[in-house]
Amino acid sequence: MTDITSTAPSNGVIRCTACGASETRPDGEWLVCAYCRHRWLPQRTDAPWQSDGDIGTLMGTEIHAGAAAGTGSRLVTLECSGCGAEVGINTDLNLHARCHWCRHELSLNAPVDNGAVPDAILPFAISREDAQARMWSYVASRWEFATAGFKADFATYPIAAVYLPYFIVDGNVTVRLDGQAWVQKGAFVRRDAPDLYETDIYAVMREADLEVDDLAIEARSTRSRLYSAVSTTNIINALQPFDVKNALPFDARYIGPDVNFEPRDTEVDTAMSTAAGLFATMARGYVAQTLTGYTGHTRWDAEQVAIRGTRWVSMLLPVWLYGYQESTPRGPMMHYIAVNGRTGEVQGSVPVDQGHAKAAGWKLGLAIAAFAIPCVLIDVVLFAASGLAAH
Amino acid sequence: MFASLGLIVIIVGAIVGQSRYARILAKQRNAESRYMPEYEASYVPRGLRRTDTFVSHLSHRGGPDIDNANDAAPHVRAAYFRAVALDVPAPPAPGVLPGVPTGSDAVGHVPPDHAGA
Repeated sequence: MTDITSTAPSNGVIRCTACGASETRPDGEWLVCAYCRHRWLPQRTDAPWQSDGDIGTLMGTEIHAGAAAGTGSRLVTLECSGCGAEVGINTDLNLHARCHWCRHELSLNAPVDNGAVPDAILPFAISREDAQARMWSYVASRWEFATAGFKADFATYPIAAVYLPYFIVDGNVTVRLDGQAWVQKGAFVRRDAPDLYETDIYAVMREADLEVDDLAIEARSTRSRLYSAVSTTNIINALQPFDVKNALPFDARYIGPDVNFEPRDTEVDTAMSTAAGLFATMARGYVAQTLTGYTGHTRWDAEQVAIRGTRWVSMLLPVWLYGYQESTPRGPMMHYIAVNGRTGEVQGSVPVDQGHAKAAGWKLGLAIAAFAIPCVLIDVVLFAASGLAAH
Repeated sequence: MFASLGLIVIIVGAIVGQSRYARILAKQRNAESRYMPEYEASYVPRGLRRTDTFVSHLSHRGGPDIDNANDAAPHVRAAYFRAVALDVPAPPAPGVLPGVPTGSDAVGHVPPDHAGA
């Protein structure tokens, strides 16, 4: 692995392009001067996440400064004593915070290593009101079977603006897939024996060269593990994609007083295997169009990914988040409803009122079973009539 | 006869009721949602090589589909998975045999250690 790029992210003072003042605040993607109210959009040119023409020539592992190690000074990361999550705040603007996952108040007494300053940040484009409206719309279709506790909480608790850490990866890869596929040739239906199928077996190989552009991978280990039986982190994963081409060089001012961020705790070495798996997934999707003739489906037995080159950039991506902890017999379970801060896509998990849901299933089952009553009555009447006729 | 019909309807009712309950759980929990890079990520395919080799004909009982078919679940890794990082360009082919790619054409060539299944 070679560290090709060492361009440091911009941590210097950003001055108003009209009056030169250094005090600014973000308004979506824009920066606004606190003195002259001038609004301007920071420069996006020459950013590595915007180039997509040279992926085919990528060789080796190119790690940009934010995806390597380092620390940020104004950004402080606090460890939540409730769930162990690490939550970052910009101490220029904010001296207290609440965990956006489990809602514990965070203490400045428990700061931890900040991780690296990211290369880029994608500011929120969806306002709080818009995100709340989208969440309500999403929950409305699930309201009937939600628990009472969730209904009361969701109606009153504010949503949180969070920047979550991601690696943005470009890749120049070759994926080879080997397996077997079946073609159905017909079936013999037999009266007193199981059906007999006629099948042709083929050994299939597909090898694809892919130039992957801006694949986003979670850079927070606890969010990238998807164990749906005990957690709902798949919700966060499903929020993608983000329009990362519009990201800006990182500036801590985008992390305002009401905004938290999570630091990255995953290194490129660890994320490489995740990336390789996703490259294989993309190749599987691509070659699917060549398998339509295999009516008995395909079993891929081997997947091999040759990675010629990758380019890694770390980025903070915007998410509106609502969290609710449900107490279940198996232990607490966090449910999240999340809104992509750029596209407005909503994904969520709503706790189920088990009694209500089971009752709904029973009602439908009983309604169908009710048709059995006339059948039984007719049978009884016929039986009685045949008895009378015999007498 | 009508009693048998009634029994069948009761069984169907129980199955439909259970299915309705399962659908409610799936909708609320949304557990199957995931990022689908095969559709949602941006990539440009630059080459596809394929072989389809007839192996045999089979007459068999059981289902019409291959055992453990996984083409519908591209996010689940196959039994054998290997990823190799090639930090250096593949060496150019000798170029003395007809049909062997050379120079820039060899970029898509997979080295021998990667070619075996």
